[in-house]
Amino acid sequence: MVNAVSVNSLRGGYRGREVFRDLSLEVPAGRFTALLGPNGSGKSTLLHFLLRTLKPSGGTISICSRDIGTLSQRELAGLIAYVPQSYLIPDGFTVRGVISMTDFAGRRCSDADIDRALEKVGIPDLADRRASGLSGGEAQLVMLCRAICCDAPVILMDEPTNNLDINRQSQLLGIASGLVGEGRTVLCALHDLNLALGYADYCHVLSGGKLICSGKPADVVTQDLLKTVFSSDARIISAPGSEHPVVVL
Amino acid sequence: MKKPPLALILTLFLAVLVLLGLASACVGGVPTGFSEVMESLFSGRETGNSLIIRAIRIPRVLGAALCGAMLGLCGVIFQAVFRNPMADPYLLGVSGGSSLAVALGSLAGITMGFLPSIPLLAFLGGLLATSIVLAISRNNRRTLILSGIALSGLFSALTTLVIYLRRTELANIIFWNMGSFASMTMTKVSIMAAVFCLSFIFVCFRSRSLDLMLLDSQSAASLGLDIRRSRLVFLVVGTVCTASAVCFCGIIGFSGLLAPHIARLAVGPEHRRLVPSSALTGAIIMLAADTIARTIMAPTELPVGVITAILGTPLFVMLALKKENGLW
Repeated sequence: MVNAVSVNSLRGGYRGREVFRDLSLEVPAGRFTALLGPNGSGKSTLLHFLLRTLKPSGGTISICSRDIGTLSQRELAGLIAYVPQSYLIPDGFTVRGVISMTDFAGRRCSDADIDRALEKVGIPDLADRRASGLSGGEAQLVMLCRAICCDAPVILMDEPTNNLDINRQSQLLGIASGLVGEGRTVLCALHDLNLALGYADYCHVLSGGKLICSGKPADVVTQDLLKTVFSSDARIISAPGSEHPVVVL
Repeated sequence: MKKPPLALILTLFLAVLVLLGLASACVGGVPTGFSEVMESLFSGRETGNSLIIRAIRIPRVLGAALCGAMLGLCGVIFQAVFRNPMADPYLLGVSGGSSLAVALGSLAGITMGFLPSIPLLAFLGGLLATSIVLAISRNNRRTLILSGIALSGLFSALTTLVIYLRRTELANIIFWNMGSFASMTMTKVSIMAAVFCLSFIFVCFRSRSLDLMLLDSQSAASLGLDIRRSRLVFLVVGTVCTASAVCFCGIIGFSGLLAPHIARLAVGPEHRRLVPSSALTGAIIMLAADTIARTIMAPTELPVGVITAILGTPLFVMLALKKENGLW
């Protein structure tokens, strides 16, 4: 299996706290991989290392077989797109203005490209709306739209469904799955195990900065995992009409 | 709504600036006519007041416009780098740091006659002030301006103390705390013009970086911005401009706050449009403020900082209230 992202013996953290001591994992290309784990397990921190907003003190990270330590930030931007957990939308910019910022790394989006991407995520009428006036769900879709326009092979998503209603959650992850169908790789940090079971092809479970297990979500998310990693008494059941098991409290 | 063409707006701003400059050159202790100013500017003929116009008024008009343009540029830079619409070289304490460094330099015997060391001192003072504000506020948006204002007050008091220690006249205290263009010369104008042109060209070419700085750090990095390096580079450019303005014109507050906000109303938030507009708006504000300062109570000349503070404080309060209400 070809890997889109390879993390080898990663060591590092932030503000004097070492989150990872020797983390190694691989993200298969052309798949939707979920990054699971309890709060503070290092999911978002790992994405920050991939974006190079944090510098590792040891180990290497490769994206599309290129060591990101040797790339300029603009070259890295050609390989990854990002959908943040919490975002800042500058006041006064339109949705089109926010999305067109992808031109910084040389990916100039025409108005037609932006309109197509907005159509794809189901918000075609928002192009000329003031971005700071959007609802949380609409803004998150705009972030996804920007990631689509980046046209990068790997899309990183940091708990993108936080603060979204159930309809928007499935809409956003459904679109992300569609992007995988087009050949892109999605690495998505998720809290909701049911969303991982429903949308991910593969998953990694982190806890305390260590990789606990990896595999297909249905194989990995077990009663034992819930107990040992999440300290939860939630149960896993087979729901009628559902193709995958469901976690219930 | 379709944005008006940038070229049209800039031409309009430039026309206002030129007309204001000519009007400003006409007024002063010795009233001169418009034709006399034009003659002094474009013909070699000596008229009664041509010396006053060439040696005093023109450097003053050019100096005020350049100082305003530099502070307008600094305002845009600092507001983007700190992601704070209230950021301004004066409110961040950068101007105060530059001013104190120059005052200390003059106490140590370095005078304006030795030009290269004065701007260098101002730059180092401004850079030190920026570092202190960043360290105190830990780059928190809420405490940044408070730390800057507190530090600015301290620097102002220390500058006044240094001037008292030197037993120099009151005019110096006013110059270093409220600004003045009274001692502007063409040599100073040339240095300011060189600093402004280099900084302006650099910022225009990198204007997209300033757009990206308004985003969260991860999004900006994912779009290709090296945030640490860009912030450092823009802080240095902003501090160089502030230092250059302060060491030749003294501290003039609020114009770096006013200019970007007025320009945003005309051209929107994109820095490709905002950077040149804010520089021109800053030049217009400063020229207007200086003209008012030397005419409103003529023959007494008011410090130009009084006028910019009167104009800028309401905007500052408005922005503070907006922040309080969580509107940005």
